[in-house]
Amino acid sequence: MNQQEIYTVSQFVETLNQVIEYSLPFVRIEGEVTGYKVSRNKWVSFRLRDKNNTVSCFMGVWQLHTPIEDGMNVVVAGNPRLNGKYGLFSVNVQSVKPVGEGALDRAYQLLKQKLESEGLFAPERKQSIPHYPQTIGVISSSGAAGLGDFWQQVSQRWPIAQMQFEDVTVQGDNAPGEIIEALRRLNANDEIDVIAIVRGGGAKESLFAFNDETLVRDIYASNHPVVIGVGHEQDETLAQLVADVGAITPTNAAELIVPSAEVLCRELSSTGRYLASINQSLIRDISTKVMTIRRTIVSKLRTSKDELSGRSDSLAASVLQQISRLDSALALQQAMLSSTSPKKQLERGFAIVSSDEGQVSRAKDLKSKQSVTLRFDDDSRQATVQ
Amino acid sequence: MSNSDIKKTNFKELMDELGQLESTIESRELDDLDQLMDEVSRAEKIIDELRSRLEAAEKKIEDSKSDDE
Repeated sequence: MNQQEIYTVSQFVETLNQVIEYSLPFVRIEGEVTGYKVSRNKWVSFRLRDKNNTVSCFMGVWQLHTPIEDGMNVVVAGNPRLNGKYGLFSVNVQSVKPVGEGALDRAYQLLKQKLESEGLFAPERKQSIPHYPQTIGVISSSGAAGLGDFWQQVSQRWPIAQMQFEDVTVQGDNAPGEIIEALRRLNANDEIDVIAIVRGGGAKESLFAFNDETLVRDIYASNHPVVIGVGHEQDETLAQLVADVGAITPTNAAELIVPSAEVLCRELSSTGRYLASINQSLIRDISTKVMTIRRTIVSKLRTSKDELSGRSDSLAASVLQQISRLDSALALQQAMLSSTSPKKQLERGFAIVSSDEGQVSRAKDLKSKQSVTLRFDDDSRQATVQ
Repeated sequence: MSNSDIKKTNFKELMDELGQLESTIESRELDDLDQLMDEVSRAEKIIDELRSRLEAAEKKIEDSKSDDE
């Protein structure tokens, strides 16, 4: 560098940025947050300070995966630059991570409040796990403590389960991104019945990946139900709160995801025996009832048949009686008729006189020498009037 | 015999069929409930038909008695 050379302001800023980019392209700086501000819901600015100095920091809201506030100790990672427009030296922050137990707790509480107010932990939006899952998507690290316990439990309890394993980093800065990618891959697979995210316990900082806001939101939006089995019983993460089932350990996650085939077989056997006994009893009851109904039906049939038969006999008797009555009436009428018959009069010696002009009932109707016919009971004779 | 044949069959034959149905229903195996129900239904129809015919005949007899008187 020529000490006599005169730079323009822009040349100076450009040269300085080249030097910074060469010697300190990426830095991690720990300090206390002060002047934290979000502009237009897009840009985050704050200063990092220690006892003697202050550094300005800028980043996009989308890059901030953990809530921060003034007074919180954080480690920022990013690229230092001199902003020529404002003549301000700052760090373009790519990630922020709270440090120290107090900061971690505070960041955790802030994000928890925010997500809770949005309803991400509401019990009513949680999906239920299938009773008998066939394919389980497992997100964990092949070296993670607790993964072995999870495998073992699933294999013992539900040997027919298929597992699709996504090997990811489960702690450190890359963990949230890798878990999110694995979650998205498993969600694209329709054969997956349930997704398990498991790892063993650890220090609070090592579990902090499971408090990443983007990961928590992706678990919330998962198509498949998600079970989280991370850490020990005392460890609580936001991923656990948002999951459809938050197990307290990997072993517990396996117990909650798959049924025990052995217990299921025992229960089925017992249920089968119970159903068989119920069935037999039911058949006996039904048979008894059907027999009773049949007896009642046959009895009613018999009564109806007897009634019909009785009425039929009675009707036949009535018909006969009516015929007999009509016979008697007919005989009486015949007798009356025969007593007034002209034939009877002829039998008694009377004769019917008739001329060519018809029957003669008076003497004055006859003339002398007139020819008449006399009809007797047995025969007729011609006669002449004197 | 189909249901429509009931009206064409004479009284005595229907009474005989009713007697046969009574015996069949009484001895029918309970595992054939459908058949049993068909037989009961048939018996009910025959009873209704016979009762209807008897009522008509009884009315005619009553009417003829009234006419005679």
